Amino acid sequence: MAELTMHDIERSGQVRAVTDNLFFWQGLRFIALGPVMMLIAYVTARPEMGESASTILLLTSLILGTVATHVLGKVYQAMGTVQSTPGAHVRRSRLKWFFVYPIMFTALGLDLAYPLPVLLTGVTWAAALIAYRRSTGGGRNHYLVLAAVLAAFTFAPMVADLDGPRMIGVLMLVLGAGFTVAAWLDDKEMRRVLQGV
Amino acid sequence: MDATPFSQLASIDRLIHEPSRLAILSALLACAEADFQYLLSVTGLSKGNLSSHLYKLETGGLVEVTKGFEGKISWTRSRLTIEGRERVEAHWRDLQRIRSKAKAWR
Repeated sequence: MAELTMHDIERSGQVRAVTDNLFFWQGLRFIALGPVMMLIAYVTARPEMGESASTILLLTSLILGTVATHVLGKVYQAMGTVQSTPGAHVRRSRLKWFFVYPIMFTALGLDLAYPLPVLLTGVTWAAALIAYRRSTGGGRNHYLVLAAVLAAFTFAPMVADLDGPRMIGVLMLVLGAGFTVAAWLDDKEMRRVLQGV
Repeated sequence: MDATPFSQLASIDRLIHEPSRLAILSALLACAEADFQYLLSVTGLSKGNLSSHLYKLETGGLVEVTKGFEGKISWTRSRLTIEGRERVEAHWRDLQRIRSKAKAWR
């Protein structure tokens, strides 16, 4: 019988974490949403484009993003499927919908409507990203880097002369780029943990 | 004097304590059921080796394997039995205990 090493134990722990949160680790599913975020940031920073042109562009990008997410999800059909344990993540879902999202969007709303010397969105979205990483199986240290970048935006109004909406636009641009890279790295890390993929 | 943390390894469940089987069981612990293809992805084993491990786990009462057809395509799904779930959870608790004792012992 093969001997179990510390590495095997670590890997089995990771297998458990990945299987429990498989959907979130299949990063290629979400990779198209990064460019969509970047496009939203670009369009909202260009009021001269006109409202109807911006709306058409945004709607088209959202539809294309959704379709791409669906199509890219098929990449993972070959790796097999798992059926989640019913009710396994009820607490996480409740916290997400009733606590994390309301705080994130309140911070965003405040930054857009009543700009302060600090960008609340930076620190709250960074904290939300760390909570996301932790609650979906840990690992993926690239989220810590992205969270640090978002947290740094908290102090951006002190060094850059931009109003609230423009500052949020820059943050969304950076987040979109970071999200694309993070989604790709999620996929890479999942493939490292699951040896036969 | 306290025994070394490694002395506890003697009492460990040998059916579970094999690298590929621990990976299979850890994956099954995290879901309701998984198909054969996913367990191949988890372990990187050949189909024959995976079947052999699943047979041992099924014979040991840890895993329940069901087979069927969807149209002309056959499927094989595995899940932990109630006893299997309890034993794998207990095994993980033992492993964590041994790991923390080993850290303190060093």
